[in-house]
Amino acid sequence: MPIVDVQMALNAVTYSSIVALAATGLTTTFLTTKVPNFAQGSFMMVGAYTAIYVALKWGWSPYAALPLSALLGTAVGLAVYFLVIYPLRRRGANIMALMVATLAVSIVFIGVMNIVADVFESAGVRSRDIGLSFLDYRETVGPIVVRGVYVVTPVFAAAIVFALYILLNYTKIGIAFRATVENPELARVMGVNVDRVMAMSWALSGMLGAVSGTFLPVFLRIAHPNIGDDMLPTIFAASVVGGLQSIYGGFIGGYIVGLAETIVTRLLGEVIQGALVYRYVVSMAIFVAVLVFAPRGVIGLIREGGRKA
Amino acid sequence: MLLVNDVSAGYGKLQVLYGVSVEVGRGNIVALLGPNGSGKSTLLKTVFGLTTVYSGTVTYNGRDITYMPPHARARLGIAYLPQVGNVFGNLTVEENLKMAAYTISRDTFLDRLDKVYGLFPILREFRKRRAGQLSGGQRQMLGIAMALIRDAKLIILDEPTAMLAPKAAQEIADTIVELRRNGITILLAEQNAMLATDIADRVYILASGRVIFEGSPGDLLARPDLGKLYLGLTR
Repeated sequence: MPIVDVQMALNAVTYSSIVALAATGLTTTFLTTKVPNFAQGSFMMVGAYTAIYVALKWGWSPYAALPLSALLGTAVGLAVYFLVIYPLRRRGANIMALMVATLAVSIVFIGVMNIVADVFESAGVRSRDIGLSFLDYRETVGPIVVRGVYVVTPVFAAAIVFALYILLNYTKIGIAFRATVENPELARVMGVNVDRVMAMSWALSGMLGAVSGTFLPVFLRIAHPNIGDDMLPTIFAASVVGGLQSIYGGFIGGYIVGLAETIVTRLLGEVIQGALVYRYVVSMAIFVAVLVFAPRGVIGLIREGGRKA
Repeated sequence: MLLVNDVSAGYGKLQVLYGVSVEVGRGNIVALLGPNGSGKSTLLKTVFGLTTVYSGTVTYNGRDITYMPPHARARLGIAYLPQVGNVFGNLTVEENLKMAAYTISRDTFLDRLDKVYGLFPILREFRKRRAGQLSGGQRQMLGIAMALIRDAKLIILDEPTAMLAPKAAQEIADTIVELRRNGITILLAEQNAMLATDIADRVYILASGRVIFEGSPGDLLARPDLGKLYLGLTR
């Protein structure tokens, strides 16, 4: 039996796409407001529960939840910015205070999502320990099960990164975004409304988190109200590994960490019984290694290499 | 056009300037000379509103701007180019110019872009290049071009030729003269006294936060004692 079979590869790429989308959101807000956002997992839960409700209550395909997820995620992202980040920044809060504030937001969200799950349950929508994979399109090709999520997630992630590229390079607000990231003071002097760019980054991050979360209950066989926060270590590792100085860093890091986590954990599982429980070990090991040996991440390595050439 | 009258200023409690008066006439090039730490940069920053002013006034076109915030001064047509960090290194030349035009209409921008490219053909050639990959002199030109896009009437330059090779420094000097021909007023701090006396209409020497000489370049060159003491000129 080969070390990596096709089924495992399909699962790994799909999982990585989910991580990549969420990590891109995390990197986005870090670039503008310099806050490591612990509420990124909360944005994912918004998407996950939108998918559960749309699929189980309305009987639609979970993918049909994507537009609504994006909308709700955007709203939640903006709410976190305007209710928490903006007022604290105005009072000159340092990174530590902001980070703890996002941690508080994520704790509040776990409570809120549990309430949402209870409300859904009482409305006849099963919301605890429920997966939506049974609703997904599937086809058996020889020994391999091909699921819809294997196709939709990576294609969607690619489309998002392409759209981001267009936004950042060919629109005025996108160029203003890059200018603000590099030098907020100079951008302000040029007349860029820096606060608006920051609000936009949080909206974008909320949207990316929520669409990423929409795929979670479809991909995993079990989803629960803490599902987003369970993803947090992996997402943070992905952002750092990719490089926090570029919006594409989260995307690249998402695939590196996602693939490594899936494949290495599986291989470890074959050597040591029960290693599946320790899947964070892999992402945390890469995380630490990158911080020690290449603190600017993969994007940093590429750029430094390019400069030497 | 610009009148700095008996200004004492500094940063918080750290006073740097003591009763400095400087006059900049419309369409002139005025150079501030003097050793490191003499207050040249502080004076430039004061004109743009980046320091604490304790006493004295700054008037621009007859209007008191002593306590006006920097962005409001920018709207009046004053542009300030710090020595470093005056362009976005990760943006292309054209994107930098677009950012400079952030608050003006597209038609006006394209119109001015054409003029700016006419003035700096090298920027047109490198318009797709990242500003971080430009040479020091080209970056200064881009910074000046961004000020022109914003329709600056008074451009404040903090040591635009510092860290430049002699040839690039001369190019910047030629650019500054060209700006004057286009009716732009220039106030600059300069280390290179030879270059400054070459292009300036009026020269000030600062030492320890006070003006110790003002006059035409000719007046200065007739005072070899000052040149030797403060400017490293020997002839």
